[in-house]
Amino acid sequence: MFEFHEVELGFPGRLLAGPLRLSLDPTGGLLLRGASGSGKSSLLRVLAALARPRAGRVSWRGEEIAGRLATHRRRVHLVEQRPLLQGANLREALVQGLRLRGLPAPADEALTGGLRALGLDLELDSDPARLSGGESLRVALLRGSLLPVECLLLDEPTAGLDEEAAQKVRRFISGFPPFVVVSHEAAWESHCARRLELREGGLHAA
Amino acid sequence: MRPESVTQLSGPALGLAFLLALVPLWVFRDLRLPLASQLGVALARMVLQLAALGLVLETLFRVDHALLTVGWLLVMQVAAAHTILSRTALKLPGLPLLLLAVMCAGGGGVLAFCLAVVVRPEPLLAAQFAIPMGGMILGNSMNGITLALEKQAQRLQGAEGRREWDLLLGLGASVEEARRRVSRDALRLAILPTLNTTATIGLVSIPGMMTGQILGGSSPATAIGYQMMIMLAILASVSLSAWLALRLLHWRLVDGEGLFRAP
Repeated sequence: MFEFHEVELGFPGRLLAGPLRLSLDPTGGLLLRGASGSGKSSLLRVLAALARPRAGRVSWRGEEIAGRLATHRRRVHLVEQRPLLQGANLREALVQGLRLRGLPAPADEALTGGLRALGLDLELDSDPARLSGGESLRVALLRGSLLPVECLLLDEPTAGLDEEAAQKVRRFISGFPPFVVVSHEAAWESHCARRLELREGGLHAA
Repeated sequence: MRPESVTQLSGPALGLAFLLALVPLWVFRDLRLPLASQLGVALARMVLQLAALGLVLETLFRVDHALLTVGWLLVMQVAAAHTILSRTALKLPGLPLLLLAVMCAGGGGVLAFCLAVVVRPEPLLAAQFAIPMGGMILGNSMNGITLALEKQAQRLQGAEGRREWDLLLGLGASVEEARRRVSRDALRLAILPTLNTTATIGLVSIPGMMTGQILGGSSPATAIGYQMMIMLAILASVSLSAWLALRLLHWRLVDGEGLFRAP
């Protein structure tokens, strides 16, 4: 559970949303909607401890994030809309987070199985730089899902995917621990226990 | 057979050397390359700067006072920091002072080690040793710092570099680990020219310091000893200065929790 205490989102000189006082429960999936520029991505970055709120405090499971950003970053993971993949091959790109955390990498079969579940038939030795946008997004999803995190944060994870691939992504994500997903697609509604909309500077039930 | 004394270059002889400037002029003319005026400015600057340096060195060597030597080394460090600033697109408040600190700690520290531990001249800060050695160490450190900062600034101040930084932190890297990873390329770029020179020295070129010593009448064995020491000193000062500069750049750009400071 994320708790917001008088949180303001935005940049110096520009307030996108707030002050927000509420709890966000990602158990079973939380769908977050809002118009472009309403602060959805900023909110995800704050939840991922990759940015600080303009003002206010954010807690995760009763513990304030401020001052413990590095610890919090190991508990949550943000999959961005245009993800960056690093590594000489797909295998390296997929296990990069595990390696950074000093954790063992899964066997090739498990990685290939994960890729197939997301509708990708890719060789683990292939070059991640040659993947299309939709493929990169799904590889980044698999990379994030391998991490032992308490909550996944997803920014438009099905944007630009065909319906079949998008369905696979939704099914894949639904089997995971708590997640917050930012998406404009109505199909996510049946995969999320809660729905919120960021509008007029506040978070409202949708 | 070595000459008993140094063969002096007479004024007219040096004038003849300037005939060599006709070669690049001819090349520029053939390719219609508009570099003639730049060559003229470069040559004029060389003459003026070396003449001024000659006067300063004459005085420094004649007086040979520790304070004067240290003062001149400081002037060299300020000039090096100024050159780095003029070559880099990086604009950060407090950067001139940071660069000066890096030059003093990196270049100055290595020079102090060479003088106090290796060469041990009498007096310790004899201008004849401290100034030329300092010049070589500081000059190379300056180039290393410039290369490292330029690369790192491009990386961390560009959108791609920031995405990479966020990716590393987002995947669970500590701030230190992320800093190490994004600094590798910059440090490699800074140290590679020195590493290459070290690996090929004596095969392709006879370095300037050695040439100077041999022309000045030293035996090749003495010149080789000094050259080895100076190469080791340059390796140490370039790596230490570039590493320090990168650390300080990070400290200025990123806070202790890994988030970019407000510009």
